[in-house]
Amino acid sequence: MSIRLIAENAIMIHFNEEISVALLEKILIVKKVIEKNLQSSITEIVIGYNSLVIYFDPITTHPYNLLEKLKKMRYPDELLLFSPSTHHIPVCYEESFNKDLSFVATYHNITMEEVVHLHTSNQYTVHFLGFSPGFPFLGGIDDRIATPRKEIPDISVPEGSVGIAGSQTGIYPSMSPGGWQIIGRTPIPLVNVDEEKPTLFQPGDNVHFYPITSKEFEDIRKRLITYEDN
Amino acid sequence: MKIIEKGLATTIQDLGRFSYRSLGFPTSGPMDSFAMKIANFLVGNHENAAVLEMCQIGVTVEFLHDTVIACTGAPMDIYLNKQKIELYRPIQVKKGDSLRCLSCKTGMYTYLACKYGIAYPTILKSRSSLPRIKDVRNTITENCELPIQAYTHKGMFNWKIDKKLFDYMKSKYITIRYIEGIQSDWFASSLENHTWKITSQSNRMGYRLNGPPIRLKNEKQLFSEPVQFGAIQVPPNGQPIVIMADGQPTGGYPKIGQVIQADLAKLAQATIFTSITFQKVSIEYALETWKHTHHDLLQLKYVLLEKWREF
Repeated sequence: MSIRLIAENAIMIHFNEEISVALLEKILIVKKVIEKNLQSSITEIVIGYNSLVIYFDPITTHPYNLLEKLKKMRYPDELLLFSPSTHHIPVCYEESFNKDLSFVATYHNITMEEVVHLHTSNQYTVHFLGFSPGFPFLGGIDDRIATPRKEIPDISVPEGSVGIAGSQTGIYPSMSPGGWQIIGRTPIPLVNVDEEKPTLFQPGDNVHFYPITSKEFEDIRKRLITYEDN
Repeated sequence: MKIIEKGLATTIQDLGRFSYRSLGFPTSGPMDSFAMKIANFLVGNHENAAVLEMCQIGVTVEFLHDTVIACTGAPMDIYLNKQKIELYRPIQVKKGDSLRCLSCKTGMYTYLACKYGIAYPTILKSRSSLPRIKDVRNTITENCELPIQAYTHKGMFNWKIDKKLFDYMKSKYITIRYIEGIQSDWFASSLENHTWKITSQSNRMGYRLNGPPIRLKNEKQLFSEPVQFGAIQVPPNGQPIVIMADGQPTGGYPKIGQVIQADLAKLAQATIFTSITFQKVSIEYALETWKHTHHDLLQLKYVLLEKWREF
């Protein structure tokens, strides 16, 4: 674990370890301990795969004092109150939602059905949210479907698209440009800015995918829209 | 006030949305926070009051109440009814007046502050326009009404601030100071000794730079990590992208540098015609410079708020 000032208003803690769920739990413990003990001196903590950045206002918080405090802090080994949620997310892997599914299948020399089977067999972990509001970076993909991202990103990836990039999978919560290989789409909204917790996923959560038909996709969509209107 | 024409890329900005980055939300906030804060101080507001940020071509608005406005940042041609008005000073407007903000000759972003701020609904504790989220509250459209509180000013404003404060956006040649990036030792060449231009594919999310490609010494994979406004990332094509106010909170490209806080406004106001050179500085130097910038702004704030107390 190394701690250094990386900008006037930011300190990074970097973990020289393999990316794993154990490392994620460790990062979440460190985050919690810092938030609990130094709440008044910091603005916000953001995490990545193997790092964590503490933002603060250098006018009100002395950067080197904060750095010393962080270096001296002791972090417990296990997370006492760590109870991640598990989400079961319906995904339609059918045509018109699965733009790059055949590429992924061809890349690995397996059938599209096998790709879907492998994608829906594993349990994934939300390592962090980034890229765009509510976008989960999910670890735990089967090596047999891990596929490099596109060389030329798509200009517009639709909301709900489920994709693969290297050994990660994720969901685009809103329409945006993107370079992930798109294999399906979920009708479930991932962001609601009127909620106190505006994103469906939190770092540490578990995610399962299950396949649905395009009919079921439309039914869920309709139900959600009716619900929103009430 | 009612938006008649929405301009090129107009947004509403307070200082930003600072506690949702870990859920993937950008901070947003003004591209040039120096100019934005001064616009607020000129009308006697708190620095976090919501203003209009206009990009190159401004809005046309009709005022539905009396108020006091001030414009700062990039020098734009602005007309109140038929009369051309000065920037960098408070100006009274009456119910029914129309304000036409045309284009700016230098710089990118111009700020329009109204007395008490735009009382736009907050989304996740901030009034800044939220990029990438479909939300009607989030966009400025023609004929939409932005709520402001009526304020009728008695007396005259016979004072203004020195427009030289905004000279940083006038020069065609600028130097941007930066701190070494976390992965700076991954690169075979440096940002220095070359001149860079901002490409037209730049916006509030990121400024793309064009210049001699920067290559990695060895092929190396970075795991996505947190990034902020001013981070200079280098994608595989070797053309750096600087993360700006609406930039993503995590990034997977290695970083060659981090623009110092004190130079973010200068970079934000640079155009595709500006020649940019980079100069590496220490973090201690960056901190000292930021303290000075902050101190100067604080002094200006006290002077301007004192002026308002005289009424």
